[in-house]
Amino acid sequence: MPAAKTQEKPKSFQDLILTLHDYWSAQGCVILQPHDVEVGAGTLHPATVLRALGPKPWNAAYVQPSRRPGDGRYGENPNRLQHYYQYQVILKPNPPNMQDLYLGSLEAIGLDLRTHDIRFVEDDWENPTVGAWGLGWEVWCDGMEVSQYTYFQQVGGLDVSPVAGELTYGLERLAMYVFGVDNVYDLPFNDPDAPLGHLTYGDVFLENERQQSEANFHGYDVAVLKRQFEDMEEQVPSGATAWKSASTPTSSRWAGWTSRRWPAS
Amino acid sequence: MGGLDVSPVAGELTYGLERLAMYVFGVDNVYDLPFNDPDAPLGHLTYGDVFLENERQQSEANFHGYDVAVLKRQFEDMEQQVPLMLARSYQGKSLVLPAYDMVLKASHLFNLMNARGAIAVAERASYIGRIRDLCKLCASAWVEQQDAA
Repeated sequence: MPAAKTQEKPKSFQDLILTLHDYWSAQGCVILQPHDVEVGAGTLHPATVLRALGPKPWNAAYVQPSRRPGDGRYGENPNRLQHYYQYQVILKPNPPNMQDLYLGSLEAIGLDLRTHDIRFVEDDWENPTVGAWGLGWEVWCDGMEVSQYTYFQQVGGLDVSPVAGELTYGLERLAMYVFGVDNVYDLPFNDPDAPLGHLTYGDVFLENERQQSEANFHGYDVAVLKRQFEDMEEQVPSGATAWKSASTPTSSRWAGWTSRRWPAS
Repeated sequence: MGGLDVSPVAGELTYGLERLAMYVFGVDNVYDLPFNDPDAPLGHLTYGDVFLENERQQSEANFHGYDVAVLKRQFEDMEQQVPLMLARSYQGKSLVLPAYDMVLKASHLFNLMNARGAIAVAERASYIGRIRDLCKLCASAWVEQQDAA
């Protein structure tokens, strides 16, 4: 089993993410950033759905915010959120020591495997909206699900060859376990001794959960949502060349309402 | 910010990561940047391995792919929806966080229309003003919530 790079237990939610980044980077993954489009699960990032397909090796890890409008609870439920984070690892082809690599990551974030009961409970995974399924396991730590472990068989209705291994960590849930906290909003977001001040997960996200829950259940205009769904449905197959440019592409670097844009020149 | 005074003043730093990395690694072409460690056990990838094809396809989509009529209608949807979202509230707080997401969508839709060459020079200022108005509504609502808290 690979030695954990960080021996000390993470001090905060963000430290746990950084520890996983360090760990998977050391294994050779490219560490990507979240995809900048709303998704319901980390799997949907193109770095997983698209890169799982095709013959080229691909090893990547990233955090992906997951938006699940129906899961909103106005900040009143201690472990259910309409916006939360998944940590996602994809390893193609899946290495023979993938399970050891995964267990090594749990040690890296401070779970002593000698004193905890880690179980792999068979639970084949399926995502009908992306035509994907795989052989999978829920990973339980002392009876609580902390990850999903999957060997992709199909994505978009196509066979995945070579087979890609996927790991999904539910970061909030894992952090609640690591920090012994019963309420997600009590998680230490940064180091409690941080020089610029300590914040909890609630300081960062509680008001967002309240407002987004209300918007999700009562705010959005259904007619607009339906029309935008139909727009997307119609536009996807049209492809990149179906529409004639209204004029020559502008060389302007204008970026809209913000007066600054990178690069500045 | 949003036409309102920032008090206390907030400092912001923005690093252009690719440009900074090109300098740090002495590379002339962003696509040659080492994305992960060149000695990585599972294989080395450059920035180009990860993003070159994405740049090609998204460029073509940005300049020629998106349907201008759809972009325009979705911009107008967002413009119309922001004040309606702000008019709703929960626990006495206007829904500024979801409303601001919509402002960002409107802004990106504008950028896409602009890349498509669909915005006349004379229209540009008007579009920017419309987005700024939405942003101001959000900023005011947010500040009221902070005062109330």
